[in-house]
Amino acid sequence: MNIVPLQVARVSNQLRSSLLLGTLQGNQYDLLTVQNQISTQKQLNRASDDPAAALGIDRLKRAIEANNQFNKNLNFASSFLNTADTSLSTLSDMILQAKSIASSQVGSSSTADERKAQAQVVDSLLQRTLDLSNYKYQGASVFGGQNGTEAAFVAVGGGYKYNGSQKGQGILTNTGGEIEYTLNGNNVFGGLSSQVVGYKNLSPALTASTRLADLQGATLAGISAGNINLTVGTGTSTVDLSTAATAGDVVNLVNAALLTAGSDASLAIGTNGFVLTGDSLQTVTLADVSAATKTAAQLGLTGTAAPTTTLTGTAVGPRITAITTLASLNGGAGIDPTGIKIINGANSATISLTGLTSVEDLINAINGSGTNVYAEINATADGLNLFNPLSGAPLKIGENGGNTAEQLGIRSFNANTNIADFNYNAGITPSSSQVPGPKGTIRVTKTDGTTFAVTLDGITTPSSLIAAINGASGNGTVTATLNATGNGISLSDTSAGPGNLSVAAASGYVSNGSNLGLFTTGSGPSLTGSNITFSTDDFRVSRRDGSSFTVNLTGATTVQDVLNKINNADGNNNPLNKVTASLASVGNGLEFNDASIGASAFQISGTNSSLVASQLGIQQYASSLTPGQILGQDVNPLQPKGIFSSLAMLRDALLSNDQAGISRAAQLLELDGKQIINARGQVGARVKDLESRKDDVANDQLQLENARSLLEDTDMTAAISRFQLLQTAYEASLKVAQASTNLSLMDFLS
Amino acid sequence: MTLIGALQLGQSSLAAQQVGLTVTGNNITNAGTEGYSRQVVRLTPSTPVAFGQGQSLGTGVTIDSIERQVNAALDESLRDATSDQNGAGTLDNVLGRLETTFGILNDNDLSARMSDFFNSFSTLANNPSDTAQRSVVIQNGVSLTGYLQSLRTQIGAIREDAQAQIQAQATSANALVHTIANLNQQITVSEAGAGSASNLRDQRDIALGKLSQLMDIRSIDMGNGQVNVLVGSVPIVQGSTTRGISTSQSYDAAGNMVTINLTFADNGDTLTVSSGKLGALVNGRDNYVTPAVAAVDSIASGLISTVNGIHSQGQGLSGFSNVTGATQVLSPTATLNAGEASTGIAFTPVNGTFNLHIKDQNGQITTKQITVNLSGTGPQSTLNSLAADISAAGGGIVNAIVDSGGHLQISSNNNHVSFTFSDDTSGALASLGINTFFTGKNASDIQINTVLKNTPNLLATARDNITGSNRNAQALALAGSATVAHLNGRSIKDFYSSYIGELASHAKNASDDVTAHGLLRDTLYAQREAISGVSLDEEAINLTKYQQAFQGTARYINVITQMMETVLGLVR
Repeated sequence: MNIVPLQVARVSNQLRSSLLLGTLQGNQYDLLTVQNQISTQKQLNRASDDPAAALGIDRLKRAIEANNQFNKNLNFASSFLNTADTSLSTLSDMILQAKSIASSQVGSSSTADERKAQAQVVDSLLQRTLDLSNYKYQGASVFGGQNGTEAAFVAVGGGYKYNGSQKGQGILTNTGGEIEYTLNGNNVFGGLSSQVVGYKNLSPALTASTRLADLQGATLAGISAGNINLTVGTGTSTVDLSTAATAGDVVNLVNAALLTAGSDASLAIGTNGFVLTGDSLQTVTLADVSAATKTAAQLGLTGTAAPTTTLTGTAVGPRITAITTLASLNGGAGIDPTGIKIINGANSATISLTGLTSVEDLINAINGSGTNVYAEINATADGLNLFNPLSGAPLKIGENGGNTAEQLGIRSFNANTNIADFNYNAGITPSSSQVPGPKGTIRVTKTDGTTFAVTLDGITTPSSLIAAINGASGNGTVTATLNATGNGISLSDTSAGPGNLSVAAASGYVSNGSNLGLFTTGSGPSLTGSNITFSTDDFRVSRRDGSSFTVNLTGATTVQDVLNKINNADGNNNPLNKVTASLASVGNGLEFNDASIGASAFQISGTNSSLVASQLGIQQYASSLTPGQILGQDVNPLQPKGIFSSLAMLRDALLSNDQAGISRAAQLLELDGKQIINARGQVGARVKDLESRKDDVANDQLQLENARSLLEDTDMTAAISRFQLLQTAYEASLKVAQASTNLSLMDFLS
Repeated sequence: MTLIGALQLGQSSLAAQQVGLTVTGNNITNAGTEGYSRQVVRLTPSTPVAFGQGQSLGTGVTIDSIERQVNAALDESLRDATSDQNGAGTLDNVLGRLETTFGILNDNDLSARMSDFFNSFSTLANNPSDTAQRSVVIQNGVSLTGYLQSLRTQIGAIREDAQAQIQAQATSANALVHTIANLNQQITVSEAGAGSASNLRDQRDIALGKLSQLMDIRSIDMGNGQVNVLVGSVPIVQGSTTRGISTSQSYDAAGNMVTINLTFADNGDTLTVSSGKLGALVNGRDNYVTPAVAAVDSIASGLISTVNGIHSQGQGLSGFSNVTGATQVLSPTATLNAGEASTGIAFTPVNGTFNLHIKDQNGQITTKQITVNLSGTGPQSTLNSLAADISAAGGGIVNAIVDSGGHLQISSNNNHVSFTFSDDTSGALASLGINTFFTGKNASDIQINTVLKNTPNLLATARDNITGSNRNAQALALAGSATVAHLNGRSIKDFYSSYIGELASHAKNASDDVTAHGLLRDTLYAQREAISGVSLDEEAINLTKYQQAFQGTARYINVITQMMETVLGLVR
């Protein structure tokens, strides 16, 4: 309560009573305030009591509300993950059961009928797996990602199709971040493991309608359209590009500014970026307004065009969107419309690009092809990815006679394909990995009687042997060459001695099954070797003219390596009878074309009992219709791995009494089990993370509540003490009032 | 000195003491009268008569004057202080009501309701397919829009109340200036020549005091018994005439908010009042209540533009088979960014594009980019051209028309074909009310889009046309903290916080002013009372003084009477 400063000479009754009234009212107001603080337990009755504190309370309230919501989200996510863990645990048990069935049914102790009976059990496991994969928490699919209420997996076309999304679902944190909590069914059940990751950047060309939002920008930081500086001659003006939405808008705005500046220069859209055609007389410079603004740099529009020259802007990297035209891909060269061939299990389709305009049209054509394959634009928006969501079906994507699949980067069997992935990841087994080549040394005796040794270690081809001989120390006069038919080595000596040139095995020589065709004595300075074969040769290509050559694939890792080894093989360098290997122009696989002419059969056959030719799908004769061409098989079908595939494989192997299949299924189930353990580990880690975040939130909440309480809640001890003090003051005021109002001189006058 | 003369001397004393007693009695009876100034009788010896050589004799007592004990300057200061105190009290009252209306420290104020609303999007994001949670979001939206509307109505009521008070107080002030002018005239008449019309002056002081409660006035004593009254530097009472006080009405640009203005009654000129109750009411209305309406409108329009902007980028659990824009466009041939006056579009779209996705019966989506050309180059987009562009992109399956009410209407001609929207960089969809959460433009008309109320599945939680995606719901959950251009780059929540912070500070200042001005007024009042106030003790002493003088005089007359009798006895 405030005290009225009194500086008065006389005291009137009116003054005394009004002061008294003021005092009593003040006492009562103060008492009421404290009473209110005590009864509501709130220090502030209204925000204006302490605006700073009120603002603090408001902020704290917001933080507390955000934390409460975060806590709710965390609880949802951890309950969700607990549900996932429960299903994973059941799944784990089921895999163990399937594995034990597999191991008990391998060997002679089981009969075909017993296996059939067990197939029934596996089939029911498959059904239960499907049920588990569609487990839901509060109506939301546990393994479907952003799939919502839909089933994550459905049985279709003899396989199991993953219906869920690639992207996961996340909860919001209190600070606007996101924590992903869904488990991708793909990772757990392996539903989508056969993915053709596009291996080509489709580099769409810039067009007038390309949105600035769809550009990566010349600095790869996107585009934030603002002002840029335009200097024509010596005059600088500012061009406001903030209203530009598309590349065409940028061109229009800059051209309008050029016109205003009196320049006949013009901006246009080039293949990858903008192109400024310079003025006929003046220099034209485009630049950012200041170092802080990046518009010009982001648009690649910085630099000077001298009179009559052209300034080509930096590429701005358009992203692929649904409406990107196929014609604009490949830097504007477009895509070969011939089409692609998709074979997915029993379903196949040929998709021609004729009549398709946009990337979305192509995606729709693939998705609607009835092959159950679906395509999408990849995460970096520069290529396409294809998925085979159907468990149990092998997928092949190849050409339809053109170059379409290669240009789209979606060929399942392409030059970069790793040959270790062939045959369902079994790869190929080159002879060199099975048997060693020739070892030790051979001795060459020259005509003058001197000798020199050639070390054979690591030599697997005629040309490497030739190089070793010609480079051997102590040689100097002997030259080795491949003979005319390319299947043997001939030597000639210039030492001009009287003897005959000869070659013989020397110390440590082991043939290991190779025949160098050289251990003989020549006539005078020349020695003609016979057919040369190496133990490490994988296959022999026999031409129509009767000649042949061998190929070994030592060191090859990709399809391109294989092609190179064949096309550059010793004995295959004469254009007149060259056998050219390439990727099949229709479908997938390797294609061989024989340039020679003759009545012999064009064929490829294995050597040294190497399985490589059959593993590459090329151990065959040319057909009578195309005697000069051999079309290999596609040995790189992509098959989804995972629980559904493995269980289906086990069931089918049991039904068909195929013990090898049972063993293979058991091996795959082993991998699936590890996958589940992995997934459970992930769930565990996430739950742990969520729990620790919950703890953090709880601690944070405690701090916030404490801070809020300090600002908002009444300090009861202080308030009650004050209440008593005020009560005493009020009582005193009343007593004073009673005493003073009753006193009057009138009472003392008679 | 004769005996008769001596008797006359006694008689003058009796009369004087009686006057003294009467004035004292008047003081005592008015001891409790507010505004009363005590009167003091000034006695003076009567003119003496010559007696002998160089000697003179007193002839008794006469009443020199009966004076009002006032200090005009102090009264003026007191009136000023009264003006300020009343002004502060009134402003405190207005701000207190505003503060209460916003319910700042309550657990269900606007801040809490906005948090509830945005948090419900966060919960929905956990399970976007949950139709029950969709309804919760929409219900929270209904509650938020209802609260914003009622908040605006309540603040409107405070404004109306202030206006009614301005009207009523202006009438009182008008009566008071007329009273003062009348009293000026009466005082001049009754004090004509000489004398003092104390009671009339007291009445005028009371009227001035009352007027000072209403407005800041200055009174100037003209010396002829009249005072002139000025408001600021403009005279309102001059002698016995007054310009009078009246009110007039004006309307805001939109023509829907009435403002009552103070004017001079004689010529309708604006009367500027800066203090007192009227000053505070005008100040409170113009500087706090009307801006509060604007603040609530800003929050609502921020909410509408931000939420709609995000919502229109997303997709619901199902697509549209037909949709009618909520915004009525005044002229379908006007360029879309021509401004609200000609288009009726409150949130102006900008140059940009949006995508139209058409989903056929097989679930395949065809995307079309629709350009909203507001670049200033080439043909600019109007509602008609936009409808034509959409129809062209729709390829005969999805068509757009402008209906007779000026709404954009998009529909598919096949029950199995639906359409959705995305990537709107132009803001055209949000501004035309297509695929929006709210309708309206400010707190007066903010509503949930009835399309959503009827079909909660259309609540756009997803992005990228992935039905179960929660990306848009997440963005909506964060909308309250996203910066809004027309809130000066602040977020809706921050804007509200800083607004209520300012309001609370103003309210605290007003409340502090009440105390400060009250203290000054009380101090001045004490000083005035020290001069003009009646002290009963003092009056009791005066009473005794005059009684005893009277008794003394009576004894003196008795003595003279006895002397007279003695003299008369000599005659017998």
